[in-house]
Amino acid sequence: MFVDAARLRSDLEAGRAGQALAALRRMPLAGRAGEIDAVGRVLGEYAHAVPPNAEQSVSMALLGSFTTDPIANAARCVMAREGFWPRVYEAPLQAFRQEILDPASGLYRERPDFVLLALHAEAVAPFPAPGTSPAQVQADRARVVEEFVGYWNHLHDRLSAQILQHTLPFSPWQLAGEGERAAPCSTHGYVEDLNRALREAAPPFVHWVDTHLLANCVGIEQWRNRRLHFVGKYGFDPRFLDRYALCLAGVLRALWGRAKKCIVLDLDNTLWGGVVGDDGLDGIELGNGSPTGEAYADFCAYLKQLKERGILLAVCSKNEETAAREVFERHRGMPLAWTDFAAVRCNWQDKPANLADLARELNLGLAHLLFVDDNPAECELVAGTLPEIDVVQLTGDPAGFPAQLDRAHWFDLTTLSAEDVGRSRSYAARRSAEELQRGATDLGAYLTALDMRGEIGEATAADLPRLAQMEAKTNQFNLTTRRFTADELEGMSRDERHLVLACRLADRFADHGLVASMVVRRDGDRWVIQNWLMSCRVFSRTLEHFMFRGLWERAAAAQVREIVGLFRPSERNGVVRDLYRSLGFDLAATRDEGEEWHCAVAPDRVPPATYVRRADV
Amino acid sequence: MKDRVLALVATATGQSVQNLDESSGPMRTAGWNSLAHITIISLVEQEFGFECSLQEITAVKSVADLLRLIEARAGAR
Repeated sequence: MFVDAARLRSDLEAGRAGQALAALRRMPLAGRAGEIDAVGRVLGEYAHAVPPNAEQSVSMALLGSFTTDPIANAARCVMAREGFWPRVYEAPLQAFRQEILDPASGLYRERPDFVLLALHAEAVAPFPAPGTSPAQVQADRARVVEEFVGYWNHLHDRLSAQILQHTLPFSPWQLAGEGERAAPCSTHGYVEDLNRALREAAPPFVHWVDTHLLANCVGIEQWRNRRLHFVGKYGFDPRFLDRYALCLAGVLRALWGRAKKCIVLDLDNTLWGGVVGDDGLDGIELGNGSPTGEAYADFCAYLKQLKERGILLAVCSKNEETAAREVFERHRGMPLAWTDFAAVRCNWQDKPANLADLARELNLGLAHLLFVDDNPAECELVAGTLPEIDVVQLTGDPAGFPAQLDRAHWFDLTTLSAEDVGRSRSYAARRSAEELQRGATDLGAYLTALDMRGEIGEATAADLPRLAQMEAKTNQFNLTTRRFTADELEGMSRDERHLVLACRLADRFADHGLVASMVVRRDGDRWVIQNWLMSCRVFSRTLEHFMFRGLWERAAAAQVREIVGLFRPSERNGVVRDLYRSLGFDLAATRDEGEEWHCAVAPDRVPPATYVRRADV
Repeated sequence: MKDRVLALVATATGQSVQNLDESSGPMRTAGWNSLAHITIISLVEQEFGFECSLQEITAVKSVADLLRLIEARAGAR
C-alpha cells in the first residue's frame, strides 16, 4: 500500500485525478513521514490544475507562527485519504493576527471549510518575565484568552468555518529546576494554565489538535528540533509528520462523523501469542508468566478500556468458536470476557465476507469498522476487497500493540457524551474514585474500593515453579525462611502428610497472579505451618486474614484441634513478627530455632475479618 | 550509496530518480526548494545515522556535495 509521489505526479499530469484520488484512499500514515510530505507536496502543486467536484473538495486555511508547509502536506494527505480533493491555503508566516483581522486577506478570499491555527506559545504571548507577580500573570493570561475568543468569533461570523487550533507545547527549558513549576512566572505553569484557560473559553466550533500531548509523547526536545527551527523556521521536526497527520486525521474524522465505532479483531497472535487450536488453552502466551504473555494481556486490557469508553469490539477469526471462547471464559490471564464482544465470527470463511456480515449485524457502515490483524495477507485481502474499511496490521512485539492503535486516533470524538460511554459506568467509576480518594484517611474504605478477589487452593503442578521462585526470593513476609526447593515442594504437594496452598489475588487495577503460599504439615489433629510467604506487592491488604480463613476452614473440616505457627526471626522479616499474635495465636515456646505459636480450632472462635472476597463465590 | 541518496532526493522532491543526478541541487532541480532541502537532510541523517551541523546543511548545493558529506561523516565513524 505504498503511495508513490512520482506515480501520483504522472497521474495528475495526465489528467487522471479520479485515479490519483482512488490511490490515496486509506493511504497508510503511520511511519510514513517522508511519503506524507512528498505526496502532500505533489497534491499541492496540482491543487488548482484539477477542477474539483464541489462536493468532493475540502479546503483548509493554515495560519501559522512557523513554517506551515509540512502541515499543509499532512493536511492534504489526511483529506485525500478520506476521499476529498484537498485545497490548502497557507497564510504568510507569523501573520495570523493580520489575516484574521483584515477583511481583504487571502483567508477571506479562500473561504475555507476549516481554519487551522498552528501556533507556538511564544507567538501567542511572551512568557512572563521572572519576578512577575501572580496577579499580573493571571491578568496577562486573561487578556490572551479574551484576544482569542475575539478571533474565534470573528472567524466564525465571517466564514462559518470550523476552527482547529494547536494546543501549546511546553518549552524544553527549565530555568529554575524544582522551583520552576511552582513559581508564578514559570514557563511550564504558564503553558499549562494557558492551554486550560483557552480550552475552557473555546466555543463549540473550536477544536484542538493536541500538539502539547504529542510533543510530550515523542519528547519535547525531539519534537522542537532547534536546528530545523533555525534553518527553516520549522515548528516541529518533520520526522514526526506522520504522528502529526494521525492526530489531525483524528480531529477531522471526529468532525466528519467518521470516527471508528467498532474494532474487529483477529485472535491468534493478536490477542494472545500462539494458536489456540494447535497449542491448546495452556499453550498460548497470555498473562502472568512471560513478558510476551503479559504484553498480550496488556493489549487486551487496553481494548477493554476502549470497550468501556463505548467502542464496540467484535471478533473475526479463523478458529473453532468453542476453542476461542474457552480462552475468554477459562484462561486466567485474559482480561476480556466473551460477553465483551458485540458480535463474533469464528469460522473458516474469508474475512471480507465476515466483515460485511458483521457490519450488517451491527448496523454500522463499513467505514465505521477498524479491522485489526497480525497477518499481512489477511490485511491486504481486506484492504483490497473492502476499500472503505481501515486496516491496522499489527507488527513487531505485542508490547507495541496498544500504541499502534492509540497513536492513530481512530476513535477521537470532539466531546465525550454520556451516551458515548454509558451512564451507569461513569457513575460507578466516579463512585469508586471518590471511595479511593477517601481512602487516604480511611483504610477500610480504600480496601473496599480495591475490590479484591482472592483464591486459595492446593498447589497444582503448574504453580510449583512460581512457588519455588517465591521461596527463594521472598525475604520480608517469610515466616521461617526455610526456602523449600522445587523438588521438596513437589514431594510435599503429592504427600498426604503435607498441604501446599497457593493463593492468587486480583483487584480492580490488576491481576496480581500467584502472590502467596503456605506449607503445612499434618501431624494428626495438629497442623503445623512450616512456612508462609507473601509477595510484598500485596502486603497490608488483609490477604493474610483471607489465607488464614482458608486454612482454618480446611482444618475445621478435617477436625483438627490445633494450628501451630512457626516463626524464625531473620534480618528482613520484622514485618511478620506479630503476625500470629494478630491472628489470635498464643506464644507457646521460644527456642533457639524460633518461636512456636498455638491456636485452638474451636467452633466459637472466628478468624479476623478480611477485605478480600473469594473469587469463586 | 549514490542510488540510496538519489532515492531519498526523489522522495523529498517528488521527482522520479531518472530526472536526478549528481549535479541536481537546490534551486536547479524542480521540487528542491528550501523545505525539500530540510527533508532531504533529515532523510539522509536517518538513513546514514549522523547529524549535520547548521553549516553543513547550508553548504550542501548538490547531490555531489551530499555524497561527499556522507562519506566524511558516516564513513569516518
